[in-house]
Amino acid sequence: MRIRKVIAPSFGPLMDASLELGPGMNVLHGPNEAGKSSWHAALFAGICGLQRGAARRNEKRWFTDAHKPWDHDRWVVGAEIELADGRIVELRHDLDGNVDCTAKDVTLGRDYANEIMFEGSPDGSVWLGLNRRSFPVTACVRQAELLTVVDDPDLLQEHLQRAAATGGTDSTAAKALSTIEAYLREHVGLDRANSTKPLRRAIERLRGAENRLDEAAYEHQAYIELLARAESLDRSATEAEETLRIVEAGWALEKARRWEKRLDKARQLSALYPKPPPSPVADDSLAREVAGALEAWESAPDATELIGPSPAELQAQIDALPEVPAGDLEPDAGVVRARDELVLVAREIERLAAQEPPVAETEAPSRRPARSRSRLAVPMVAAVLLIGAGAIGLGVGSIVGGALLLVAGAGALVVGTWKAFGPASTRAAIEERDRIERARRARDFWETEMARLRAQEDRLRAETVASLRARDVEADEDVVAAVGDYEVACRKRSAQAAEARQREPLVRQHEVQRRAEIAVGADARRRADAGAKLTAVAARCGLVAEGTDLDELVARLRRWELDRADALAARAAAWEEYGSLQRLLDGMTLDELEQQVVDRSHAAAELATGLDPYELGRVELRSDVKDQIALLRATAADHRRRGDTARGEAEQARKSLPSVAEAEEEVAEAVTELDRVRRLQATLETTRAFLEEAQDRVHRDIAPQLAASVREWLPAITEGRYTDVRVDPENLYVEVLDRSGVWRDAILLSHGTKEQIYLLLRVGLAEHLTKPGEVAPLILDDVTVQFDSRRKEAVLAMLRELSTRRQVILFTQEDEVVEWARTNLLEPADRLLCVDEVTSTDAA
Amino acid sequence: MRFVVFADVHLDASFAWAGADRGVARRWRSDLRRALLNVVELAVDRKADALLCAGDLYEQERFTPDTQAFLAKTFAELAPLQVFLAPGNHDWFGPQSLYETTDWSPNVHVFGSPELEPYELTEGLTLWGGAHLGPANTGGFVKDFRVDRDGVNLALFHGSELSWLHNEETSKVPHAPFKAQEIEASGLDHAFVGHLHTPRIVARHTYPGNPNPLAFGETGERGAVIVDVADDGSVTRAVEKVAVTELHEIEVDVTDCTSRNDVVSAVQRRLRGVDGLARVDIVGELQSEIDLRVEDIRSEAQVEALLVRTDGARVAYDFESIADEQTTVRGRFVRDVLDAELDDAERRRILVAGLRALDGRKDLEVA
Repeated sequence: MRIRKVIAPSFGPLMDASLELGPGMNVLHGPNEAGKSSWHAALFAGICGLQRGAARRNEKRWFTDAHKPWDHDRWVVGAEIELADGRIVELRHDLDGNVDCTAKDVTLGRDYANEIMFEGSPDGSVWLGLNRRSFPVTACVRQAELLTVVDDPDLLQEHLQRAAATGGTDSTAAKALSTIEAYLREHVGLDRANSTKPLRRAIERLRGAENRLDEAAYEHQAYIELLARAESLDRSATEAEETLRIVEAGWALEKARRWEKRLDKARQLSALYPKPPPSPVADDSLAREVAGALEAWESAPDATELIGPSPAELQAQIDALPEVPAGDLEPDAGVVRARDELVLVAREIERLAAQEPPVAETEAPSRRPARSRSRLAVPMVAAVLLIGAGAIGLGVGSIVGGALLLVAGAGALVVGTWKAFGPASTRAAIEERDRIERARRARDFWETEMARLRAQEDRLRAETVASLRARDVEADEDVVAAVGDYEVACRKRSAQAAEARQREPLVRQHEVQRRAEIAVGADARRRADAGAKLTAVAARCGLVAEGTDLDELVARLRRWELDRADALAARAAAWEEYGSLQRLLDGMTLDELEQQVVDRSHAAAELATGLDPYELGRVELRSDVKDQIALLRATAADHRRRGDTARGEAEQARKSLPSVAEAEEEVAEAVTELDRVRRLQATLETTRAFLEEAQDRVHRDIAPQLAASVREWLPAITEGRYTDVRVDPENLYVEVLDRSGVWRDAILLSHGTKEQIYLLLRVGLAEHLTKPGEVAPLILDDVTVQFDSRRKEAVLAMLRELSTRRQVILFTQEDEVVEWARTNLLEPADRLLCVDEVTSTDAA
Repeated sequence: MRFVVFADVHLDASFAWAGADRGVARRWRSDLRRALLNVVELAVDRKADALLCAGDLYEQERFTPDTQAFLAKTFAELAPLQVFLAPGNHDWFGPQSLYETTDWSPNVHVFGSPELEPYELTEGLTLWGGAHLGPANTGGFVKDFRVDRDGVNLALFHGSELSWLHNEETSKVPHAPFKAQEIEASGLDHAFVGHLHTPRIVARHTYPGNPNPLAFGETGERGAVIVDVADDGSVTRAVEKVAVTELHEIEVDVTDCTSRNDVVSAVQRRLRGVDGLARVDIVGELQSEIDLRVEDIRSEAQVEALLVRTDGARVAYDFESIADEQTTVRGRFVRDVLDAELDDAERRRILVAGLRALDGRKDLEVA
């Protein structure tokens, strides 16, 4: 952008004035009060205009006070500018109302005002990527700025940072971050126990409020529970009292009914016993005598007779009995067995004798078949006989002998059989020889056996005789007969002994009969005595006794006893009833008892008054009704007391009961406050993060551009003392490289060098801040006034050089600068303008 | 037969949401009682035969002993005028409820059954009432209900008419829900219902709404309803205002204000002559250099109670223009924040705080 003309139809002291500028370096000079400041302001306002609305009212007011014409209604300023794209635009700003503001293309007549609106009004600096707030600090360099940079080296960096942050209008990003940090510390703080900052305070406040709400809710709940408990206990007490009333009334009614019954009974008994009845207690000795006589009679034995033979008869029988005989009553078994064996042996001998075999031949006979048969028959018969003898022997007990006979017989039978049926030629001879042998053997056997039997017979006879003699029985030759006699004698003695054994039972019977005879006599005497007593006592009882059968007398006495018992029972009953009457009256008269009944009935009726008859009718009175009443009374009293206690506690709690609603509101306030602080914390922390990120990115972009801008001019303006420059992207620190190759901090350089570097940096900033493709003019206000001639000339030379690329407008009051301009500036690109003349001329 | 019907007084309610100081909340709670007294006075003045409350008379979790005594005395003084109370979800009926622990005068009848139970007001006129037994999970009173007698049958309960519920605030829970047509189907001639704070007077049921304001933004003519019941069961209703609390909702445009004092003055001008509780919405374009603090407005406003909302105000930074600063930290910052995924309020706070910091200002907290 190049400013072709500043137009001031009505601006401060400038009226219908204009100022044409060259595209190169323009030096506007004039003495103090010549209107330089007005043109400077007109230049700014002609490009940027003024914002609409009330914002930045103070700035606006100051500007208005300084530059609004006092004696004109209009307040208008404008500028004609040439943009990099060749457009020439005339800006016109109605500063008073901001209504008639235009930005017309001089060639086309098109109004670009809407393209460049900023804060409500058109702003020509928008084409530069700036605005009316950033344009002055980007394109304009004031004397004071240079001085501050010289006086305070740190401001160089700050200025760069501010320019990077806001185009130089406001604070630096670092300061903004610092401000945020400080604000966070002060208005948020840390959540630490010992912190006194808002965040901690808000947390603790919320915690406290929540605790108080918990306490309030708890106490409220406790209170309503106490109320509910009191209410429940009161109801229980009331129910118990109601039940008590019902039970008491029921009990009173029951008692009244009992008293009425008592009265009825008393009336009945009183009618029966106007006087006390006779005593049931009487002299009962006669009764006892009757009872004793009857008992004696009942216990007396019946009359009995002696049964069986008398003792005398029995004594006669005893005396007639024989004595017990001496000797065996039964035959001795040994004697009898010996005799029987003897008889058997004798019979055997007799039988054996009848079977005596012939005496045996000495040689064998010739063959004689007929005889053979006979001979055969003989041994066979002998064999049969032997077997038979053996069998008999076994039968009589001679086991050995019998066995031998059996064996011999069997052998003979076998041999005989074999021989009888052997071969005919030899068999006869053999058979004959065998026959003879067998005959000889049979004879031998027979003789042997006969001898043995004879010996046995002798031994048995001797034994039998000896036994008989041992029993004083003599025996002759005929032992068997002697034994028979002995047996007969035994039988006789046995019969006598049996008769003699009747003595002992008879003696015992005799003794029994003798005692029975004595007892019968005693019984008869007792019964007679009892009968006599009955008779006597019956007479005392007034019963007819003489000539009366004793059993009848007993019956009469029994009836007498029953009649007497009935009479006594009747008197006892009367006495009991009379006692009952006395108990019913209990010391009262009948009238007094009646009054009692009336009183009690009335009392019961009073108790029942107001009670539900249905409930009263169904009341259950326990057997221990007094305990039942006592329990109900205690229960009612206990519930009432506990209910009163609960109500008292509730009342006590009520006095200090906190408001739950207020506690909730306090929590809500605390929550709101904590939310506010936390929201502030979140906002500021996020803001800080965004700002840090933006700062880093912008510094990274701007640092090389600033360095390049300074690097281009630095060797020339420092006459080769410094050849290079670098800018730290982090903090925009500037360092320059001297001839010796040492990097030096720019803030430590000489004043003149710093001023030059500052101007170069401002140019660099202007280039950086300006929209690509556009070039912002450089407007300087008395920037050289404090410089010595050498420094002044160096700066002016640099500005002259800069003006080849961007329009430079230098306001000055120094003649030295005017002189330099006259010498160095070349029209038409450059202009040396006397402000006073311009203003006067146009004004004129 | 004439009734005065009301509901949803919410005695001892908390006004934590309002963010007002506790003195305001206390005063507001006091107004609730005074509104109830107005209802009672209305019943006497209009010679009502009975006073009917359709629930949420008080808040069980917050009621104070003083409220208990207040209610007992207030209703006792109405005798012989009968008072019928149908507990709602905030004042549910139970052993610990005020209904059970208060020694009511004989003219007070509290419905304590979860199902509608009859009370014969006069021959041929029966009032059916039901109670919530807990703060939630109460079923509908009329869905399966059928009247079992002739004459006029009216109902008093606390419940949610489903077709209308969506008009209430979204957090409203459908306690004891019912449909309007169920009232007629059940044989009831009319139902007096509480729970919905927005008054509704339709053919078969009546919602009186909360008689005294409980929040800003409530609409509709509300109060106590005077009901005349004809012999045929038809009802004639008239709403009588009984509210005590005066709420004012005021909008103050601060576009032309250039300082905090200007803003405060603008608010003061709008509040001139206003009595009661006011909520001021700051709207318009707030100049970026104004350090506006809600507490400043509240402390300097000459009203009894004041709520201030600044959400509607827009700080007068030209973010788009600043974002066009391609080379400055400020421009980069604004662009980054505008591009970031943030909610609008947070974005606005970050932008204003950052720009204020870059402006060298110390007032970084943005309302």
